[in-house]
Amino acid sequence: MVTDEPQRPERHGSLGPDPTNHLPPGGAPDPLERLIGRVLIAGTITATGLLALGLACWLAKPGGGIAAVFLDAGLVVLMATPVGRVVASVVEYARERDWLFVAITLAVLLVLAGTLVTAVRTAIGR
Amino acid sequence: MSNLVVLSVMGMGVVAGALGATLGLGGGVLLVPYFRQVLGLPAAVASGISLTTVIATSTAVSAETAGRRLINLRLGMVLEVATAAGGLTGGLAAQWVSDRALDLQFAAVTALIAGVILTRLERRNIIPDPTADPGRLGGRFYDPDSGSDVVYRVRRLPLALVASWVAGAISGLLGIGGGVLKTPVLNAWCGVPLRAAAATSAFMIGVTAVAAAPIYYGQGKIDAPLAAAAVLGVLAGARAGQRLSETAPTRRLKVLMAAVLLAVSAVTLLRTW
Repeated sequence: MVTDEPQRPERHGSLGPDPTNHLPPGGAPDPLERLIGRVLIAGTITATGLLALGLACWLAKPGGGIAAVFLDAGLVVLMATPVGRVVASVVEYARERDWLFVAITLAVLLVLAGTLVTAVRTAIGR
Repeated sequence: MSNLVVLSVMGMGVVAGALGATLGLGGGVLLVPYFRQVLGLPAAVASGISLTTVIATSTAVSAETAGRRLINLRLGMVLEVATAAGGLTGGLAAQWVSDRALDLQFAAVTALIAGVILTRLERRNIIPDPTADPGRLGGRFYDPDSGSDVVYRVRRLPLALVASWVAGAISGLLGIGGGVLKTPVLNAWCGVPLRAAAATSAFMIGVTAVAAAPIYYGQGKIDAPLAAAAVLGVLAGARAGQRLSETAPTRRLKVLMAAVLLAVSAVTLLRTW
């Protein structure tokens, strides 16, 4: 850990936005940006935790069943996180009654749904 | 897959993540040739694992930048429609393209990226004008270098949409993030200042990669222990790189990175030909 770092108010080392530490003159924090920040932090922490646990189990006993469960759960959470922040955006834009951006974010979700359908079909056909 | 290989992938991930975060590249462009040329994995496996690291980098970096108003959310969401469609196209196309053809494309794209880096060594492009009207898609953020607010408008949106689709297709096909192609387009052609362009691009590539990665996952191409090792390595490296990026000799690192990419391109080309 760096302890002798000079005090620099523009910067913070912690993971994620810190509303008290960083209020740039660019404007008040955007509620959507903060919501997205929270989704991304939660996803990162959960996914890396599961992957680290799974990898540790796997290194201890390659091919173990528990390792596979943790690893797959971690990969699924990892892939679900960006989808989750798109869903959060749809909800927030709807709350703000910004219908153009509700439509745009729904279009992104539609493409991702196409991916999911393709992935599930290839997984079943395999 | 021995423990040694898994640990080597983690180590390579640290290097790729650190360089990536320092230079605003994803780590994929270094991981894919490691998987293909050093470990000899099939192209689809290399792309699939690399895409998981792209998602992880995008998520972690954006979690960190969210709240600083650097990410242009609206522009990002608009361009994500195109970039996700490109990612899906690339992910689907990858099933039909031979490993040899993918390697040749990878060699071409890495050479292109090296060229992009070398021609943009000095780019800053910050125009402080706090009174300008950003319009519906533009943005405003605080720039610590100049100590003032930066306001910008987005120009040539259709061009940005096309570039995002192309970058998405390359990403889905080759497993790289494609941010290094999006950022210069947003910056040089669409009027977005470099810091905002890089943050917005990093934000988008997660959705791009997610439009393709589940297809590889459904095909069983994402080797879970290797992906976990790569993701954890890249994230650790990216954290170190973010600290470094404030003091690192960026210009020299860019030249080094361009040289590495040209070497990667040449090796890939020679071994594929």
